[in-house]
Amino acid sequence: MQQNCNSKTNDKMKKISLLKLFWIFFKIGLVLFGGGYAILPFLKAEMVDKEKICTMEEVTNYYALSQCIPGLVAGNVSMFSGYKARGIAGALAAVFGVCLPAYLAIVIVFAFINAIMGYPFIQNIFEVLDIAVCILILLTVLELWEFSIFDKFTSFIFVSALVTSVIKISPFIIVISAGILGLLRHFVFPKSKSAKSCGCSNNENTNNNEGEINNE
Amino acid sequence: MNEIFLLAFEYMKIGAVAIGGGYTVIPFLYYLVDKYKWFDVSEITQMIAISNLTPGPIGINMATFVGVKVGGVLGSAFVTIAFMIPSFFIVMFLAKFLKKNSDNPLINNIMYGLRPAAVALIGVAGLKIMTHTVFHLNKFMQTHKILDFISLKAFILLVFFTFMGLKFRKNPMILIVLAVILGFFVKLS
Repeated sequence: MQQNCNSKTNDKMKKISLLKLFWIFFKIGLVLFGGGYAILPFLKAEMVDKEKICTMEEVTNYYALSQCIPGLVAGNVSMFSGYKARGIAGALAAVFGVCLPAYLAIVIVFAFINAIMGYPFIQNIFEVLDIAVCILILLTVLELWEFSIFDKFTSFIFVSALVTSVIKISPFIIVISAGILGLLRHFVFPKSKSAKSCGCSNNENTNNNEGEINNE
Repeated sequence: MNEIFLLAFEYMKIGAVAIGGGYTVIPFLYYLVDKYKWFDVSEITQMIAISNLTPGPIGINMATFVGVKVGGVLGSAFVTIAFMIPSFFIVMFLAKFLKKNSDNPLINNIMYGLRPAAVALIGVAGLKIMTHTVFHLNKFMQTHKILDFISLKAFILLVFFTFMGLKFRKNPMILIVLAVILGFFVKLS
């Protein structure tokens, strides 16, 4: 926490080269396993502590926001911090850096996959993997639950989305109608409080994230 | 070649609506399976498993995987870039916007409506995998035997993975590695 306060007062940010920025995010992409949730500690180490481009407060804000907007959390966070460093060119350098390892890894794996899939024990492994993957997905639901579904309005949207999804309505239609409902709610109940506590850009959420990093 | 443009376009649409990270893309993959038959349901779980074992954001892993499958190495680059374009514009817009005002009630309200829908979609995707690995509803409808409904070995694995998943919440890789090791010893079908 002490360090965060120090980096905050450091107003003069040195200008970083685009290549350096790309390299930093390439390294982050290389060690990023699992979801985008894993990016935060690496981002803190590189962009806050080492390069002093962003403050910890900014990084956690980017992270909270990235969960609320379309696209990948890791990609969005990288674009935000790249933009902070070098504007639009910086954002491009950062997002290419963070995505390139993922791209190369799959291209390489795919070259071998047909050769190994013929073995029966590989098929078997993938059957067990199916179960692990479905647990991973359901755990993600649990993770998103507490700051997504917490009152009548959000429960209503959750249940309707669940039902419409089971009867095979296109997910695009479901997501867009949910957004429109949120929009309508804004105009019908302009002063309602609950929308603020959605964890989108409020401090409560950012503080939690900060606490998690410090624990690690 | 036309297929790659179509896939890139579909993926751009996904990139514009998938909120909350890589797993949100999964329901849209099921939608693609229904609509185009470029790949099948079992390949989706294969993609998710491999994406968990390889470095980088899962969403990019999966986009590349689908792209390579439909259009080769060059096609996959195209699909992956198309996937990132909508969020790039949104982030650039927001980053500029945030310089002026940091908390906007309109955006908060839209997100407030969007998130529960995204969570429901992810949940259905998870349950879908469960219905074709652990619970065999189709077979049960034909035979009406409870043993045909639940695959016992798979159910034990399900309980085990739930326990381990809750224990190692911060590190999903552990679950995948465990599944690979168990796959050598346990035969499910």
